[in-house]
Amino acid sequence: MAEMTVELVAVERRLWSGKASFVLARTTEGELGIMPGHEPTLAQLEEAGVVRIDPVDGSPLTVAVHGGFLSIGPETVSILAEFAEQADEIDVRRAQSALDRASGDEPDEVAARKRAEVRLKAAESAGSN
Amino acid sequence: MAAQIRVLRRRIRSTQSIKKITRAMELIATSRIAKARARVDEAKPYAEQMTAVLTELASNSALDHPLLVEREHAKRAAVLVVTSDRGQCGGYNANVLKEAEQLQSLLREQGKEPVLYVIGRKGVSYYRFRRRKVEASWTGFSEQPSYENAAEAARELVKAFMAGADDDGEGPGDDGIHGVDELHLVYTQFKNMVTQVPQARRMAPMEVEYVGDDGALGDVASETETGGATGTTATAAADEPRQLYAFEPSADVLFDSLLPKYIGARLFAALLESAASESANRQRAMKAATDNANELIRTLTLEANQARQAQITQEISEIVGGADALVTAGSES
Repeated sequence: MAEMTVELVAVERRLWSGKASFVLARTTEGELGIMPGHEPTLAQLEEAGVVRIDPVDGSPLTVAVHGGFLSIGPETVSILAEFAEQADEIDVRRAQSALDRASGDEPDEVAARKRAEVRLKAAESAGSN
Repeated sequence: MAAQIRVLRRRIRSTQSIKKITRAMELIATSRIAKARARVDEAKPYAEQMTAVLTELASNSALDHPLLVEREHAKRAAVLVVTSDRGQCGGYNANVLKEAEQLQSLLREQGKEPVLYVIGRKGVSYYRFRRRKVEASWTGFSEQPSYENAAEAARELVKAFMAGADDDGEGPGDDGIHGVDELHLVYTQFKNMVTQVPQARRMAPMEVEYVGDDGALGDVASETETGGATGTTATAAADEPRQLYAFEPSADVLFDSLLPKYIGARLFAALLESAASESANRQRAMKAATDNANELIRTLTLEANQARQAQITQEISEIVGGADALVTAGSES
């Protein structure tokens, strides 16, 4: 099977890197599924979104990505994120309580709510795989 | 005599407990350096990828973003000084603050008014003591900065910078905010365990350098060293065949949203280096303090022993003298 090198890099550390056969991400323009041999692309991801990586071996990886960018090269895909968490690192209960807390309309609260929603979504979709 | 011994013993005891504290701080600092350096390394992949992406974008978009354009009549320049929250770290803060003073006088010579932004409690109290106005300050994370801290400061700075775009000579422009026209950063670069150098850099406007002959090859956004002759560059290879990228959304929009993040990432890298430098300085200072305490304990113990010996000698001679006196008194009666 064709494969590509995928790197998931957050500001503070490199989260994951390896061979993958498929990456699913949502850009500001719409959902983007990437398979090996994709056209070289630079894209901005949703401010808070879920990214799925299907490694060549192993089970799919679901990651909550905040403030991310995507750069697709000839054989590599890099996902740059300000923050990123793998689904199994996410504390569902904490995200849920953060979601309950952030109910107002202040910009901070709206951002916090989005973050919490994405975390829950990532954790959920990882659970259903 | 007895009083002297008591005083000496007391001094030895207090020096010993001080030594315990400095030794503990030294050990903590030592472990922190390793951690801080690891974090500097961990943050590198992001910075590299970011530079690569920016390089790609720079050649595909109009380079008219405010963060890239040099302003003709720069009036106010923001200076962000990165200091530590706690003391006990030798000349670390003094060096950074001295560098910051130099930068400020340089800016004044160029006819720009420096506007202070401070990270770290030590810097805040330095300027407060001198009654200098600090525009904004952030404290409480100098030893273990997180990206959120850097992003917060970067947001504030970029906001001020953007607001400065429409300033007219004297007062604030249409938006009513008195912004700044340049962003400078003073932090401590971690060269190695023994050398940490305070550095002044200009963060914005960034300079775009054209690498390669026909200008279309590699363009690099970089920071320039303030006051220094040459700029530092994150250079990209110029000779590789060019990839044609698709952009989503358009290159200009991407570029606009990426540049502020780039500043945040650069600031974060500077905070991490400063944290490593702070720990290295503290480790050195505390090692010196521990060594001094050891030396002090040694001389004080020597003195105490001498005093004790003298006391014993005196007591013996007093007894002997007393016995002699009794013997003489007995033989006379």
